[in-house]
Amino acid sequence: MPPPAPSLPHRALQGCGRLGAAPRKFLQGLGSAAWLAGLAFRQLLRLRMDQVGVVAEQTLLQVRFTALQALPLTLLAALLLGGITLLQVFGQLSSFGAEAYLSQLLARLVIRELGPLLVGIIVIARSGTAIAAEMASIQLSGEVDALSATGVDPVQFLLVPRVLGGMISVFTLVVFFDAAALLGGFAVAALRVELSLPFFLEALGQALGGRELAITAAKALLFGALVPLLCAGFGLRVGRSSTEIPQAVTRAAVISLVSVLLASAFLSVALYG
Amino acid sequence: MDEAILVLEQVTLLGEAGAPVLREATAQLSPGAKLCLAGPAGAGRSCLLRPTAGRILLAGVPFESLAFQHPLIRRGGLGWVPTSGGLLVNQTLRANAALPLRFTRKHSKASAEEEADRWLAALGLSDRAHLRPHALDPTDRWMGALARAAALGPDLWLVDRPPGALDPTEAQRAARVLQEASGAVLTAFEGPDPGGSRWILAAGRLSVEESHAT
Repeated sequence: MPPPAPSLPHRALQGCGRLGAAPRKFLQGLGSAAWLAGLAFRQLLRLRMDQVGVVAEQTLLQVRFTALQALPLTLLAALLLGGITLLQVFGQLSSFGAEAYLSQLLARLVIRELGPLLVGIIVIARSGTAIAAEMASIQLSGEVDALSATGVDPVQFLLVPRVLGGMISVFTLVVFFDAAALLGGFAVAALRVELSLPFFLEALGQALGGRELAITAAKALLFGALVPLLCAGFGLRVGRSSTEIPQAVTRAAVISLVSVLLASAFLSVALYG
Repeated sequence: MDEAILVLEQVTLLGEAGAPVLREATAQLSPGAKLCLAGPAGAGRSCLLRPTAGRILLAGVPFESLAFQHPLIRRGGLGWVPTSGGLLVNQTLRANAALPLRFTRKHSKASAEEEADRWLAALGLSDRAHLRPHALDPTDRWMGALARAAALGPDLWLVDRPPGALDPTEAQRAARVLQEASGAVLTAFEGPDPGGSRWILAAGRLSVEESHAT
């Protein structure tokens, strides 16, 4: 006899359960990242002096991949974005005769918001996905167990360098991104209005204080730690099949993107709002 | 009498399919003993350190499955050679073999790599020391894991079977390294002491067979 069809209230409850699945997965990802962050911090403090060199080598490798190899793409994106943003803003400001505020507006937009956010997105696309795939692959092939069994702490050897490398890389990329975006903006502005570089730099200096730069640095360091933690967490949670690797990578990229967007919005509202 | 390096107390193991492959087994391995863990394929030899019940003691200290936070392991006292080799894919064979020495034995990079090179040469892998695992065949990865374990000079070797048949030269080199090891050796294949004692894992039971040389 076929099982009875589920009743309407039962189906409604099932529908509600499905609605909650996405936020639940998002919160699971954040919880896992917070747990890994605690673990990474604890194991970082437990590193012996003789182990620091091994971890530093791995950190440098991560910086090379995440920052150095991403630099051309980041600079290109920043130059174009600075120029395009200025073009859009210029039309609005010139209709009010307020071209003098161009550099201030550009500086605030790029340094406060666009720099950390777009660098975060570039790092998720290039390095976050790579970290998730690498972690999933080494988990499946038994390398994590083999490391542990030979006395090498996988958190110290695999996770700590990726988090430190991510923080150093995102911070560095944000500095380059902001500089290139402002330069791109200046180049476009100089084509449209009489604008000298000393005047542009002076206006930048007036628009930006130590607080802005500190908040941008804090955002960069936060995103730099968050992306590797989330991506490593999703990668390490694969079970037994290699078909789980692409799923883990997709999930890691999506959750990282949502987290970076939310964190950026939250920090901006809390600190500038 | 020396304390046993490995003790199984009422150990139950689950196989890949989730069915018990070993029920409440008790056995112990003395320091320096060379033993073969025999049994049919799928009998559960590869998951010896993942018991679902019972207790495993390494050098007298209980071992928590999966955690690997054990004093013997933290000081590099376990030579673990899985069938896949378990080598890190983003490191060369030399770096893989040297890594545990640098991490657990405070060796400098140069001295760890020198020691790694010595064991890679003993196992005939000198010409492949600069390669990463994906460029090696499965047997070489297993031999590389053997070199990594040998470089540590562990108190206990747990050596799973190689991924395929070793050619006579490779088999001879591997057997020599295991024979000359000062620690206890438990292999999941006919290892360094073909006529010696064996643990036989079959039909959910572990039995000990003393020397079976004819």
